[in-house]
Amino acid sequence: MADDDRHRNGREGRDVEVPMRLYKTVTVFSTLIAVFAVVFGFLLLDAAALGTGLIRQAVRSLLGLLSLSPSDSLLSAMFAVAGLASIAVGAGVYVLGTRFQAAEMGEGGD
Amino acid sequence: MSDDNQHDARTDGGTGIVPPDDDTPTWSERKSRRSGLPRLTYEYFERARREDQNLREESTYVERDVLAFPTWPHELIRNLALTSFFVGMLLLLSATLPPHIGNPANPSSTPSIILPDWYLYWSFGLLKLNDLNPALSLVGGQKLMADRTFGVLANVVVVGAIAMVPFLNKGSARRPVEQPFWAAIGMGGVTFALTLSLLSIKNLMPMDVHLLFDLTFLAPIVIGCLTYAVLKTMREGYMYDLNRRYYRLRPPK
Amino acid sequence: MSLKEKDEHDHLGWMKGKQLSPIEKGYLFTLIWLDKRFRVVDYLELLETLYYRVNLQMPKSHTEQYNLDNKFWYWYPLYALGSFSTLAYVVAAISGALLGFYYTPSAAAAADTGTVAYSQITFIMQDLQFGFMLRSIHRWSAQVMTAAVFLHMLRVYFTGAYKEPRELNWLLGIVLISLTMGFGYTGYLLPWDQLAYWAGQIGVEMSLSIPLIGEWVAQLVFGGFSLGAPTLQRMYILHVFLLPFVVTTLIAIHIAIVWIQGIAEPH
Ligand code: HEM
Repeated sequence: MADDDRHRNGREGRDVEVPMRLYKTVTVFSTLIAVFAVVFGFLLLDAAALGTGLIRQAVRSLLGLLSLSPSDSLLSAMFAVAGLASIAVGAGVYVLGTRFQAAEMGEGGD
Repeated sequence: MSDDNQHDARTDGGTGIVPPDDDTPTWSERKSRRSGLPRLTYEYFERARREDQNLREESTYVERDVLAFPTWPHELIRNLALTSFFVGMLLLLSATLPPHIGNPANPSSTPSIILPDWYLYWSFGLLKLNDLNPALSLVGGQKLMADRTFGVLANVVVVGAIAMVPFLNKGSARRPVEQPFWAAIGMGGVTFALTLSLLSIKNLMPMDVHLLFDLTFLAPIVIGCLTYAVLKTMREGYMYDLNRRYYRLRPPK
Repeated sequence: MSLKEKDEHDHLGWMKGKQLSPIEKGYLFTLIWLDKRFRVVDYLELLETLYYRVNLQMPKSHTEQYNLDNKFWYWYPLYALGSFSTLAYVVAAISGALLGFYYTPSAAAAADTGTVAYSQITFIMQDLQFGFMLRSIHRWSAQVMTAAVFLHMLRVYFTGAYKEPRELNWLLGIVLISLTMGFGYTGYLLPWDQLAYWAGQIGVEMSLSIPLIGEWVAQLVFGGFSLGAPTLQRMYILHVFLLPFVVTTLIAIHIAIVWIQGIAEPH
C-alpha cells in the first residue's frame, strides 16, 4: 500500500483517495448505516432494560413459535449484548468510512 | 446616497463625525482637531469610516445603511442550529434529573425553610433588607414604614432603575470597552443579584449572617470597580495597538 | 436536470487498479452495491445543484464584509439566547397543554392524601404513561426559559443593544421577564404541596404589604388573605389562560420589532 499510505499531520490512520462520486456514496451510506445501527442498538438496550417493550414481546412470540421460552434474564442479557454489538458496528462503519477521502481533501489538514 | 443621508448614518459607533467624501480633512487639520486619546479615537474611527465607505462602494451587496444585522437569514439560521441543540440538551436534562414532589400542603405545619424558585431569590433577598429601613430616632426608633413594605418598595426601585437604563445611557457605543462605566454598573448589578440571592437563603449559608449582609453590598461595589479598572486598561491597550497600526500604514508626512 | 442518463463512473474498474485491503474492498463493494439500488446520492446531488442554482449562500455579515475588528464575534452565540427563550417557551407550552389534560385545580380533599390537585400530580408522575417525563420536561423547560431570559437580558445590556431605536423593546423585555417569573410562580403553586403552599403564603404577605392597594391586590390575585380553593383556582387561570395569551402576544410583538429593526450591531 505504498502510494495510498498517507498520514496527515496530527491524524492517525490511513487515508485512501477515491473519486468524488464514490466519496459521496461512502459518506451518505456509511452515515445512514451508522445512524440506523446506533439507534437500533439503543432500542435493543431499551428492550433489555424494560420488561414490556414491543421489541421484546415480538421476539418472545417469535421464539414462542419455535417453542422456545428463554428466561427473562437470559433474554435481557441477549438483548444487551445485541444492542451493544449493534452500536459498535455502527461506530465501526462510520469510522471506516472516514478514511475514504476525495481528492484535495487530505492536504489541508484541519 | 445623498450627502445628508451620510451625515445621518452613524454606523461606526464613534464620534458621529462623518467627513463628506470630497473634503476629507488634511493631516494637519486632523492633527489640530484635538489632542491625546480623543484625537486617536477620532482618527481611527474616521479611517474605519472611509474604508467602510470604499468597501461599500465597491460592493455588490444590497445597498443599505447598515445599522443592524438582518434578522433573516443571519440571525435565524444560526439560532436555529444553536437552539435545536439546546432543546436536545433540555430533553436530556429532563430525562436525567426529573423533579420530585414534596409532602402535600399542610397549613398547620410551617416548614423550617420556605423558598420560592431560584429565579425569585433576588427579589426574596430584597425583602430581607430590614436593617436598611431608615429608623427615625426622633420618633423613638420607630420605622418609617413596615419592613415588608420597604422590601416591596425595594423591588419597585430596582426594576424601575433597570427600566431607566436606555434613557440614561445614550450614544452609539456598544462594547463594554467603549463604556467602562456602564459595564461596571452592569457587573455590579449582576453581582448584587447574586449576593441578594445568597442573602435570601441566609439560613442555609455556612456563614456569619452579618458578614453576609455586609458582603451583599460590598461585593458588587468591588466587582464594579474591578470591571471599570480592567476595561479602562483594555481600552488604553486597544488605542495603543490601533495607533501603532495606523502609523505603520500611513506614516505622518 | 437533464433526462439523459449520466455516464456512470466505473467504480469496480477503479477498485481493481487500487491497492486496498480486503476489508476496505468489501466495505466499498457493499456501499456501491447499495448505491446502485437506492439512488439516494443522486437525489442529494439534485439538491446540491439546486442549492448552487438559487445561490442559497449566506450573505456576509457586516463585520465579515467590511473586515471590521471582529473581536466581539466570540460572544456571538449569546445572541441566540432570545431565540432559545422562545423555543423553551414553546416546549413548555406543548408539554403544559399535555399536562393540562390530567390536572385538576381542586383544593378539595382527595381520597388518599392531600388535595385533588396534589393527587393528580402524583397520578401523572406514577401512573400516567410518559407522565413523569412530561412533568420533567415542563419543569425543566420553564426553569431553562427563565435562565435564558435572564442571560438574554444581560447580553442585551452588555452589548448596548437597548440603545436608540430599541428602548421600547427593552421596556417590553422588562414586562416579559416579570411575566415569565409570574408564570413560574403561579406554576410553582399548582402542585399544592408544602413548598407551593408556603410560597403562596409569602405571596399573600407580599401583596398585603403593598401600600394603599395591598388588600385589594391580595383579594384579586390570591382570592383572600389566607390560602385555599380560590387561590388555587386563580393561580390555575393565571397560569393556563391569562398569562399564555398575554405572554405569547408580547413575545410576538417583541420579535416583530426585532425583525423590523434588525439586530443591533456590535461595533
Ligand atoms: C420571554 C422573554 C423574551 C423573549 C422570548 C425574547 C426574545 C427575543 C429575541 C428572539 C430577540 C432577537 C435577538 C436575540 O435573540 O438576541 C430579542 C431581542 C431583544 N430583546 Fe428580547 N426576549 C425576551 C426578554 C427580554 C428581556 C427581559 C429584555 C430586556 C429587558 C429584552 C430586550 C431585548 C432587546 C432590547 C432586543 C433587541 C436586541 C438587538 O437588537 O440586538 N428581551 N428578544
